[in-house]
Amino acid sequence: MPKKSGLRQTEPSLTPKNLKRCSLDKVAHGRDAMVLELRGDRCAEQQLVYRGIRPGEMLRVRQIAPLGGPIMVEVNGGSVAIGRALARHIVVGVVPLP
Amino acid sequence: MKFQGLNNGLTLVEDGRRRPSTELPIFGQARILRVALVGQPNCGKSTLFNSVAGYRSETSNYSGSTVRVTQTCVRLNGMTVELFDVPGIYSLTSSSPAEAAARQLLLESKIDLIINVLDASLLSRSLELTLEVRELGIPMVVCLNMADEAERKGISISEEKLSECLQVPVVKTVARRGDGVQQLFAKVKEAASAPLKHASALRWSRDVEHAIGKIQAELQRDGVAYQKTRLLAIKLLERDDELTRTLTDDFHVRTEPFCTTLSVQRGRPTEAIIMSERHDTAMRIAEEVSEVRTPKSDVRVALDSFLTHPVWGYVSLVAVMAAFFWGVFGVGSALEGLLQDELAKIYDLLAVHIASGTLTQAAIKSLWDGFVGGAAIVLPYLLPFLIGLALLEDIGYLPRVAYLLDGLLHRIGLHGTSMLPMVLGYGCSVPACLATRMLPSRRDRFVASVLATLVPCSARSNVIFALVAFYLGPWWALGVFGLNAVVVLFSGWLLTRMWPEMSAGMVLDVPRYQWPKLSVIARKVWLRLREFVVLSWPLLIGGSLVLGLIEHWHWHHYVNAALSPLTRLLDLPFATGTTLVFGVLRKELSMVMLGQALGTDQINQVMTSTQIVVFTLFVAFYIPCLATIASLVRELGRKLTAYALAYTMIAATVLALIARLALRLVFAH
Repeated sequence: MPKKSGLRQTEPSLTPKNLKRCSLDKVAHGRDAMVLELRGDRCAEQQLVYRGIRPGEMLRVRQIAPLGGPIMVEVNGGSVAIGRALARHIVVGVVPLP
Repeated sequence: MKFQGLNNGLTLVEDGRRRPSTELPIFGQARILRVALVGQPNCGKSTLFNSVAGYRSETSNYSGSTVRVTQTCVRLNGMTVELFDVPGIYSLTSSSPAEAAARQLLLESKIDLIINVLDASLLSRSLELTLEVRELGIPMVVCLNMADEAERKGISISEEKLSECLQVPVVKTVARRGDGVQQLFAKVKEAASAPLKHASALRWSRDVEHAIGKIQAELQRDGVAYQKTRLLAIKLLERDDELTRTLTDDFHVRTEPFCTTLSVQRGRPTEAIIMSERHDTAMRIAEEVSEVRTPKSDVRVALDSFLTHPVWGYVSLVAVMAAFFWGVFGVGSALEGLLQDELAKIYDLLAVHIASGTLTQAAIKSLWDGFVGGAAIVLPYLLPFLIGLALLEDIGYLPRVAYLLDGLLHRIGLHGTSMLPMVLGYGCSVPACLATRMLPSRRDRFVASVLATLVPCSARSNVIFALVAFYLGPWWALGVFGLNAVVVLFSGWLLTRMWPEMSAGMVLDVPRYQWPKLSVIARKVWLRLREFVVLSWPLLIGGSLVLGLIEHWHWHHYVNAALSPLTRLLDLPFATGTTLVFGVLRKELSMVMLGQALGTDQINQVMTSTQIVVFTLFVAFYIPCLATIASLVRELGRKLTAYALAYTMIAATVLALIARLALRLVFAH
């Protein structure tokens, strides 16, 4: 039986309630997180949503640029770089390490 | 009629030509089929376009390389097709001028068929646009592009199932290799003459459908054609700002209750309901039609972690830029020396047959100088430069540059995305100004286009390479480029201080790396080189002839005298005045004419090192060429362009003056 996409496969017990809530810019390199809330203005929110960054979606932090640079996340099989200021407005739940 | 004449975006009036979607369209032999390529950014629309139209639309491996609609007429399988390459969009709601152009084409032009191009490796995300475009009621063919990438990621998609869901033909393609393109256009022919079928996948939940139906009825009451009402009703629920602005207050009063009821029932705003429902549908379809196996290991993932690493990323960035610089300089200077020598020998053979001092001699000499300038000074640097830039673009490195430099650019109040037009500015300022159209904020567009014109374009880089690097050594040229970068950053800081509000945030697509294809690189380089060969080179030769004749009749003294305050201020030779005037036509002219104006090919014999640097700095910064001015006027308007030009002139004079004074200490002459 072929598996569905790897990133989205989460434990059934993993619900937004038992994840550690924080903003995206606080998530460590390489960790997986679930998007819980988008707080930015509507234009920025739309830009995120079009690229698949929306509540309920899983993402992985792939790279964090120094000097307050952007955060590169992998979502839905593609990579997107998000400016640090915008990342502060994205609330995520960090998936605990196994 | 209520909506008539209401500005941009939407014409809500029946034009009499659009047919009801259930009726069979008539395609006579003489009828031209208008087909638009629609899809999300960087899914390969332009590549597909080029595969049938020849290389006409520039392609690159980053989002937003197409910023305007390109069209062409082609004969395919016995039918005439007018094909439109449309800028990439995520949704029919537009946020940048490039997206607005796409939306306008789809809503206002009479498009007969849409080829919806999807990146098969990003299926669920791509399908959201498909669902939206499907509501336009225009016949459609889905092109599952980059099928090879999807396979590599372990995703196999069933064309039949997808076709079943959407009720439109689906064809898998790899546009880069031309695979499946024939089959795609065979389907286009079929689909254009078949009625658009109803697809149950497009149905919304009952309460949403109810609200849509009510709004549709209101639209119809206002005389909007039925098949346009559905998309408009959905857009109204989505709170599409551009659309709602064009609607009358009365209409809002009548439809608001439907929106409010829906929003109260679900406990969230209607736009959120529409977006999440569309997302869920796209997700469901994607899961239904695709099977996911474990992906093949991909060396590009490891490569990318290295190239965007907090330390190694910057080390590689410097290495890449250095390799680029030394590559262009190495190839360019070697070729320049060789070609200058060989061409001088040819001229010597020719010269013995012409009497000196005559008009004929002046004319032939200046024509020859113009030709040699293009062949021996411009092309040797331009060619490797364009190849290098095309490689970086096609590999997909430029978005990484934007990613790496975003932090730095933030200090001057800009987003990393503004980096892309600036990098393109090293090629040519005209496409760089055009590229600012992909930026959503007007302020960012203004700042980025001014900065992009300050960046030395290939013509100005050419002056730097052929004068400073050739006579003083590559490190000096590197210094000039470095100084330019500092001035660009400073100017950015200054401009953003004057216009402080910063747009919300950067969201930048980072594409997969692609192995560049030789034929694509060659055609792209040729497309850009052709600009020089057919436009600038004749201009160089013509300009050179004009200068030759002016000198023959001794008129150049007047021009030089008029510019003498400037040349004296900068301590440049009196004769350089005319070259600076000609430089406004094309920047290469300044350099090519320099030899002619000074009467020698060995510039360093008549100009001091200081003068060479000062001249180069001035040429690199002062007023951009005419073509750039024209595109600035188009993108910014006359007033802002006038400010930008004044700024470049002042910057050029001040920098050249500082250089003149400072270098006196270095060279001691």
